[in-house]
This record gives sequence, C-alpha cells and structure tokens, in this order.
Amino acid sequence: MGSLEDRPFLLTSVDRMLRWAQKNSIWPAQFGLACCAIEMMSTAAARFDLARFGAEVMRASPRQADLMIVAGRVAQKMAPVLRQIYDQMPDPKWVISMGACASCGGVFNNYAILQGVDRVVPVDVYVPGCPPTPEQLLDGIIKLQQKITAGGIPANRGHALAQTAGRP
Amino acid sequence: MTATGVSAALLEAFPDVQEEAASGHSLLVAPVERLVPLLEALKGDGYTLLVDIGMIDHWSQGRVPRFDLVYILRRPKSGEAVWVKVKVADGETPPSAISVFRGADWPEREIYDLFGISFQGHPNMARILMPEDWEGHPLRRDYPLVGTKPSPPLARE
Amino acid sequence: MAEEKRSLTLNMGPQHPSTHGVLRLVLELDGEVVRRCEPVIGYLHTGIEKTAENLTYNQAVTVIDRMDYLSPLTNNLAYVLAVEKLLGITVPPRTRTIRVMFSELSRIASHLVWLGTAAMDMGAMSVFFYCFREREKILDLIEMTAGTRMNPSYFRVGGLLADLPDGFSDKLGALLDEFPTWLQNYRDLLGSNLLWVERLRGAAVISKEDALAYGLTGQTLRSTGVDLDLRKAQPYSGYEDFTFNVPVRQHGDAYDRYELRLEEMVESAGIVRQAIERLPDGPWHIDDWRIFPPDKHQHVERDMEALIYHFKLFTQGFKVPPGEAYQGVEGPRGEIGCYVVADGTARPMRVRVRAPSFYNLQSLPLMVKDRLIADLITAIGSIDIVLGDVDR
Ligand code: SF4
Repeated sequence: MGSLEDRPFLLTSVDRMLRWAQKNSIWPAQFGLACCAIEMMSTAAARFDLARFGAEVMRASPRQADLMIVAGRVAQKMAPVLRQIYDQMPDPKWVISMGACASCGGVFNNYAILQGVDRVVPVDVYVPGCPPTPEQLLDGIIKLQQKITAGGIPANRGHALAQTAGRP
Repeated sequence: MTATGVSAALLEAFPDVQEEAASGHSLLVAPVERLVPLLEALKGDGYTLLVDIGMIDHWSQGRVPRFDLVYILRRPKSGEAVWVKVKVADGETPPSAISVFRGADWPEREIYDLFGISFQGHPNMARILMPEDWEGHPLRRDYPLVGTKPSPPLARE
Repeated sequence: MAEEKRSLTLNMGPQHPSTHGVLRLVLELDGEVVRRCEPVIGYLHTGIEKTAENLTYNQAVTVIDRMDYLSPLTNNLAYVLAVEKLLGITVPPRTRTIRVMFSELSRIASHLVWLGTAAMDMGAMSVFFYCFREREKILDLIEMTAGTRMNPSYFRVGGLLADLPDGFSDKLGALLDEFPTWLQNYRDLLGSNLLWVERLRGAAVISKEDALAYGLTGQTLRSTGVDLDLRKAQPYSGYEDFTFNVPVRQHGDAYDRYELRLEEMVESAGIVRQAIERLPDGPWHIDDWRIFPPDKHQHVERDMEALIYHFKLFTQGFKVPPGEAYQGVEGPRGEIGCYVVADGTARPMRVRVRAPSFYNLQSLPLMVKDRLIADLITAIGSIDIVLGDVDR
C-alpha cells in the first residue's frame, strides 16, 4: 500500500455509503395491476425515462426487487397474492402505492376492491391521481429516494422499532 | 329466410316463443325448457356468433320470476342481432347452452358466480371472478355494494 | 429404474411479465408441450357493473372508463349510445364526428400498446419504446381536450365533456402527417425480423367455426376470414359516412392478427383525417338542460333557472324512462357491448358489459393445446387481452 496522498479517497460512514447506493439503484418489481400500470409503463418508456433516476431495472422476480409499486386496484382475490409477492422480496424493501385505488379504493368503494393496499402491506409513499401522471410517479420515486437518503426507516420496520422503543 | 330478422319458418316451429318489439334487434321470449332447441334453431338460421349471455335482476320491482336471462346472438354476415330472453326464478336451474355454443362456458360461470343461478349440464359450475370461498352473489340487487365483510385493519409490517 | 412419463403442472401468474396484467394460467406440461391450459381469472375483478348501478347515469361514465383502460373512449361510446337510445335522443353531427375521431385515436393508441408489449414478450424491447413514444402524442391530444391522459370520460350522455380546444386540428394534422413513418418503422423493425415472423406464423391458430362458437370478435375473428366489423355491419355514431376498409385474413394465426392490427391503424388514421377535414360546425351537445348541463359562463352564472337545472343535474341526475337497450361498438379488441336497463329512476338498474377480452381469452386453451410453451406467450400477446376488461 502506498501513501494516501497519491490516491483519491473519500470519507464517509458505511451507513451513508449504503444509503447512497440504495437510493440510486432502486429496482422495482415489474408488477402491474390496472390502468395505473400502463402509466407506470409510460414512466419507464422513452418520454419520461425512469432511468434518469436509476430506477428503471424492472425485475420480473420479486426476489430481485426492493421496491414494489402497487400500480392499480387490488381486488380481494389479488390481496393474498400481493402479500405473498411482498413477502418474497428481500429486505430492505419499500412500497409505493400508486393511484387512488391502491391508496384508498379510489372510485371503487365496493365489495370487490380492497380499500387501500395499506391493509395488506405497509406503504412508504402514496401517489395520488387516477391515474397519476408519469411526472407524479417520478415525484413519488424522488420522495422515496429522499426518504432513503435521510435514513428513514422502511414502513415495514418502523412499527417494529417503535414497539421496541416502547412507543405506541 | 326473410331478409332481416328471424326467419318465419323458425318462429312457426316454436309456437310458444313470442317475438316482442325492441329497438335495433329482434327479441324472442322463450320458456326455459325450449331454450336449448331454440338456440340450436337460431344457430341453424345463421345466428352463429354468440355475443353475450347476461342476467338482469328484477328484485327491486319485486317481480316473480325474479331474473331475466338474456342470450345475444349475431349473424356474422350482416351483423344483425337477436336476443333470446328467458325468465328464471330464484333457485331454478336453466339448461346450459354449452352444447350449442362452447363459448357459453365462462359467461354461465360468471352468472353463477355473481347471481347464484347454476346451469344444468355445465361441466364446471364453479366461481370464476370471486375467490372460491366468497359468500354471497354480489350482483344480486339485494347484495350490499360494499359487501358483507368489514375492511381489514392497516398492515404495519 | 424405468423412466416414467409424468406431466408437470405449472402455475403461471398472476404476477408474470408476459401475462399482460394479472392473469393466472394453470398449465399441464409434458416437457415443453402444453397439454392443458386453464386460465384463472378474477384477480382484477372490480365490481364495475355493481358500482355503475349505484351511480347516476352520468357518473357511471367514469367507472365504465376504467374497464378497458387501454381504450376508455370506446367503452364510453358503447355506454353513452345505449343510454341515449333509452332516452330517445340524437346528438348533433359535430358530437358524432368528434366521437368517431376520438374512438379511432384511442384505437390507434391501444394498438400501439399492444404492439409494444407483444413485441416485448418476444424479446424485441426497442419496439416498446417506439410505440410508447408515439402513443404519448395521442395522449397529448386527449389531454389537451379532456384534461387527463387516460380515463378521460370525455363522452357524456347527450354530448361531450367539452368542445375541441384551440389548436387541436393543427396538432392532430401534424400527428397524421408523421403517422406513416411510424408504421414504416414498425414494419422495418418487425416485419423483416425473421424471429418475429417465425414465432407468429402458425402460432395460436383457431378455426372459423370455433371462433364463432367461442364468441370471438375483433381481429381474432377477422383473422379467420369472417369480415364482421360493427362499424360497417351495424354502423353507429355516423360511421356510415366514412370510407374505410375492413381488413380480413384467412389463416387465423398470430401473424394474421399482427398484420390486421397494423392495417387497422392505417384505416383508423384515415377515418381520423376524414373526420377532422369535414368536422361540422355547430353545437357539440344537445340543447336540453334536463340532460346536458347548461354552460357555466353563458348561463349558470347569469340565470337562476339555469343554476337550478345545473344543481339538480349534478345532485340528482336525470331520470331515464324504463326500458332496456343494447349497443355494441367495435372496440380495439372486438365488440364492446353495453346494455343498460332503466327502471325510471336516475340510476341504471343494470349495466352489463359485454367484454371482448373475456370471450377472446376463453379461447386461449384451444389455441395452445399441444403446442410449445413459447407459443403460449405468442398466443396471449396475439389475442390482445386487457385484464380490466376480462374481470371488470
Ligand atoms: S387509480 Fe384510477 S387509473 Fe389507477 S387503477 Fe384505479 S381506476 Fe385505474
């Protein structure tokens, strides 16, 4: 090993370094449900180009993904499947609820649609709209990146940590 | 065969089938036991395309029999449509049309699923849209819009 | 040990990249050959028909939109025409022409999504980017007119949401001018691509008799030699005034369907051009405040009576005389039919939608029986299903 002077180096903490890496290489699961999924595809396509934010690597397998974008309405029949897919994703993982339906049932307050995907999986970022425009989804992803950089805890961990700390 | 509408010979062969006035298509009202022969005859009359099978629930008017079962067929040449309407009471089991139109499979299952009317002779009378363990038949007029089960609590982990 | 021949049961979906949504297939495989295929649907069942029964006639337009979300405007069209039939009203010529124009634009947009995703299933990634780039231009037109990109609910009972905005025809003209180059691009990318052609030719074949018995419509039916297109056979909304061809093929395979869709896009562009060129002037909605709301600036803000009508319309809706009506329209996937049963109140008693994808998907097991699993992917792509349409 030579002296430090002739090699460039950077001082950071492991934690910050990790978060920086995570933030810039979010891999969403390729998982679309309804109309919102088409807008998600538009977001990934040429005009809006999700790749600018390092999140374009849509993975077909949940085991290779760390972000689940719930794009569309979740039917009662789909809810257990969705949970299973979520469980198959490795930690740390995040969830974006895209659109009115995924966030709260949207225009479908009825027997068939789950009134908000947060009833089966914990959600980090809610994106409103029916469907949200690609810009809105991009904004949601940027919000998530900010959350990651700030060291925010994924929604699925927050509750457990709060409990160990004795908070409600 | 007449130029438009159902052929006169066919109607003669089915004296118990009434032709009623409707806009844009012919409308035949048939008794349930004549349904399959009638569909067969219509198929022979050129109505070879099965467009749809639907169900209408007249519960809110308190009508007996409660349901209207509607078959829509089309002549692929001219696009003309005919409706066959059958009145069905709750709990009655109309015959399945699969022997005439194989495409009747799914729509009949859908009617079973959403209205609770099962079809005689259908090979697989199971739910198609709702989960298998679902209770009730959602499209009945007396089924509440929001369902019968409360929404689950928020998921935290 | 003697080798025993066993079949493998494989579950594909509901989350699978090539099932175009949440379709689940239970496959029985013998090596790579599909012996049995059973689609399991309902993973996107939204209860749209039930919801529509609980909304007023104009509110129901919004949920009807969200069925076949690749081409919401054709769903709208079937529904509003059925309600207008019940009300016994005819809309002005300008409305009719605008409706035709937007139906055709959304047909093109829908086919573009189909082409992009079907090609992506086959591994041709770049086509997807081209198709979506060009679809954006159509969405821009819809957005500038109706305010949103998708699910615009632009057609209303008795008229439209709004008239065409300024500068619309210039933008549309520019789009139509460059349209032929889009098509040329796709043909260059795919038509001369041996892999694409070989995988589509002879795959997902269905015979004419089966197609009819299974209730197939749209390109899947027309690829078997039946030239049923409701725009020609039972014209609605003024389609009889337009000149266009209905392309038909004979083999009933996936390649024919691909060719048909490309040709249909050309015909659709032709219709759009005719529509914009002879777009009649005049009103774009009916003049009946009981059904179509009075104009906000012209009437509601000045006239007490208009305000009352406006208020009543949006709080209670309008009443429709008892009766039933069916309207089938030729959507991008086949016949979208809507039948509406009215009981004299302001809410429909029953809204039933005849969904083309539902019937088309039903024939999938037939198309893929004893074929390779790779052909299954081709088949799913070639029948162009939208799960929102299948499950409703
Ligand atoms: S939020 Fe709107 S666009 Fe998104 S899935 Fe629901 S209905 Fe479709």
